Amino acid sequence: MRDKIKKWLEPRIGLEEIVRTQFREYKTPKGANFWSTLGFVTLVAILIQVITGILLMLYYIPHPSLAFDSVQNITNGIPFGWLVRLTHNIGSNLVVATAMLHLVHVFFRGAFKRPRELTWLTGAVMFILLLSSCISGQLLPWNQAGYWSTTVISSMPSFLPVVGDSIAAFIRGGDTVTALTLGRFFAFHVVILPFFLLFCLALHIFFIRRQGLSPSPEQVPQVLPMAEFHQEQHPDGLPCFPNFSMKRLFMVFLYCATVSLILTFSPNLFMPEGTNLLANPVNTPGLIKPPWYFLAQYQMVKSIPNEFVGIGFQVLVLVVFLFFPFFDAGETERSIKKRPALMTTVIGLLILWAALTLWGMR
Amino acid sequence: MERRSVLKTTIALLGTTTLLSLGYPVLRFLSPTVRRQSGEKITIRKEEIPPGSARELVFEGTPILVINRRETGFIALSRICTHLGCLVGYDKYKGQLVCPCHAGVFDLDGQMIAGPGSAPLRQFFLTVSATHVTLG
Repeated sequence: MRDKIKKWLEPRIGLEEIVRTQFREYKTPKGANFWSTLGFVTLVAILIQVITGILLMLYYIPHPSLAFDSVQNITNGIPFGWLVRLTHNIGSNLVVATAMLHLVHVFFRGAFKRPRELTWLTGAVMFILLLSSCISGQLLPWNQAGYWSTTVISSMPSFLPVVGDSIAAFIRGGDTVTALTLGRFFAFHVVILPFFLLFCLALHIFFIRRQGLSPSPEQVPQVLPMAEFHQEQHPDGLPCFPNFSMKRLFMVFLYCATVSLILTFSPNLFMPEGTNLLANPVNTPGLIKPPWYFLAQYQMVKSIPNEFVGIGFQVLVLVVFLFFPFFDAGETERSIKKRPALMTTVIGLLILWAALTLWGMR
Repeated sequence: MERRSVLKTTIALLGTTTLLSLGYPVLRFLSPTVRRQSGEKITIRKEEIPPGSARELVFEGTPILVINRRETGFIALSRICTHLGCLVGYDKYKGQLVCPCHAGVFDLDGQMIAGPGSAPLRQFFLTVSATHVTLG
């Protein structure tokens, strides 16, 4: 049967050639390790989010008077609804963690350097879109935690002078979080953000396949002059399939195992207090905290007395993060290890981020 | 047995187990959760439906008609047309049930007389006492 299908497809799409050129002859750079699979793991994690999200959408009703009950019904009434909801909830946190690790690995590998500026840019934009998806998804269950977290996050732009209030009102569709906000966030979460995410993902993969995977800084220590387009072939590397694919598969299983482990032993790990309470617009709960990946920003805004300075600093970090390969274009050294100033700054920022996150947790 | 075939069989077994353990919850998740209510009872006073008239009701989640036929007495029929699911209406002048979508016509026993489709309308059990008609 399999042979018959292959035989039928071969003259139509040239299956053999695709498998040969895209898998067997497609080489991964020497020294590509488990860290190098994190991009693929993030892709699979996003796919899991898409599938569980579509399943949840079958029963979810985006209306303030029905949203909470529909989510409770998914969790308690629909067969295995708890599994789908928790997988989506835990996955939304782990996908951010894998994306962060992927970005850090890419940075330390010097894979953002010329000619891969656009690969970095599309990846960084995808990361921002991923975080935005997480924020917009928080409001959908219409519970106390999501409602007030959205109120706080959507108020942040109002610290910006002149245009701040207009931006906040535009995000919320009014002065406060209402049914209009829910409609907007639902549209953002299920249509608008996934559309841009998919677009950036397609570009990101296109750049990676077109340019070839980035070699390690040990192999190519200096940025090569760019006279013309050059595709990295890695003749001394190992074939992507089956060698590197097995590493990828292992890491995907590790990711799924982590989700299952949290699901089994700590299912409410990412469910903040107030998750199972209906949103009450006239009663702010005692302690409102954003998810762990925003705790550093939250703590910074809380600690710096001038909100504008706090937000301004974060906007600056965001711009530097997005366009770093362009700011760093003059430097030809690819290895971060040989650039102590940059290495110290980045490690310092990572430690600061971790410290602020831990501080925010307390 | 060769090492390669052991590996292949193991992977196939593990893959099937994984697929089944993921597929089963998804299938259960997708299966409709609204079940038809059973054990429902509706009682109507006979004088509410004089001979030659009908009354529209919803019974066990299905729109139905309780008709008091002049010669043969009460009958409860589903209003869902067996052609494409539109709701039939009672034409008291012609003593027929007519579907507005594709002009299907049923007699008062629920049998198809004209138009597309062939199956008769679903009939519901009812009991008739001296003063009441009871569905279910």
